[in-house]
Amino acid sequence: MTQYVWSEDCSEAVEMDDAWVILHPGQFTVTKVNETGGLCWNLLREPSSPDTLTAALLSSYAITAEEAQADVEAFLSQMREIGLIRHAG
Amino acid sequence: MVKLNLQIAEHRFEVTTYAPELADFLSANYLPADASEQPPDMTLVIHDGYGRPFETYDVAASASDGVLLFVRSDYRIDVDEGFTRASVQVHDTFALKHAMMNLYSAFAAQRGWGLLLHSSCIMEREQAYLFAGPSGAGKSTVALLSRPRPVLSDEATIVKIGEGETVVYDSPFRSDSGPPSRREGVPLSAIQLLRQSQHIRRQRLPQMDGLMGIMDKVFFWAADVAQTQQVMRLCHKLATNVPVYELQFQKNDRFWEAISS
Repeated sequence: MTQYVWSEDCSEAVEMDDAWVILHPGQFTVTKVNETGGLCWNLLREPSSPDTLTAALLSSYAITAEEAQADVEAFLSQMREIGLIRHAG
Repeated sequence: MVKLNLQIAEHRFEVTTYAPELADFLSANYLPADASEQPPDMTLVIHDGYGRPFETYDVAASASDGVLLFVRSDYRIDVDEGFTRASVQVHDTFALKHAMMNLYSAFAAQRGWGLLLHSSCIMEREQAYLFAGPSGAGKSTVALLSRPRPVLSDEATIVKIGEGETVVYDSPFRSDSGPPSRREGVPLSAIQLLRQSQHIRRQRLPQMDGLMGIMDKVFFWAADVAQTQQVMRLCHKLATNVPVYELQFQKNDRFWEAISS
């Protein structure tokens, strides 16, 4: 299964108010994500598959497997689009 | 040959130059360092006769073999990556002013000590208030309208970002409000992002908006990603330590009422 990981030079998400913020020194950008996005982001430090992330969401939040899967897909697709993650390997 | 010991915020710079005009400029615009047995934080050799007159603010920054290089049409800085020794070559005193800002901002960030922010900063009741905004938003007007309050900077504010303490130092990087005089830091109470308006209103921003406002105002030219990382960490720390406000602002001194209330 496809695995994803942080793009080069990305760093861990930091908490600000109620959101998580990803700092990207390579691009000098900041990206705001919600709490579940922050959880996924910190797991993506190591190569992770969508299934791993979905399982992590299911163990932390009272949501259905379908909801978790949809959240993970939306998150990964946005992160790919803005260049914060890449295919691992 | 002229040798000068200059103080910038908490740091001492030992400068050697053979150009009397450059030595005069530095003596007139910087505080002399306190007499101290401590070795200087950095040793600089400054040469004149470099390059062409000012063309653009763009600086080419690069790193190779342990040396960082910052180049503009009118100056060139070579500094070791530990920021202990630098050679600064300039075209004129205007170039020297900007080269010193460039060097000091890189030095302060590299040490994780603090940032240089494009802003003015005013002291009121032993607290510092920083005002930032796009060109023409009123940074210098704020400084003029705030008299007789002491002006800590009118162009580039030196901010020390420590654990739990954020302090502003009197800046030698000024456009027209005279040289610095205070040696002690002043606690930074608030950051105001200026927006011209028909009203006077001050509103606290979410930390994320504050962070973006601060990142937009940092003077820095990164020679490598590690430096950018350090600058972003410092911006984040500043945005979480100090409240950031939007200040809708008319060009009169009534904005102090909004700040003090």
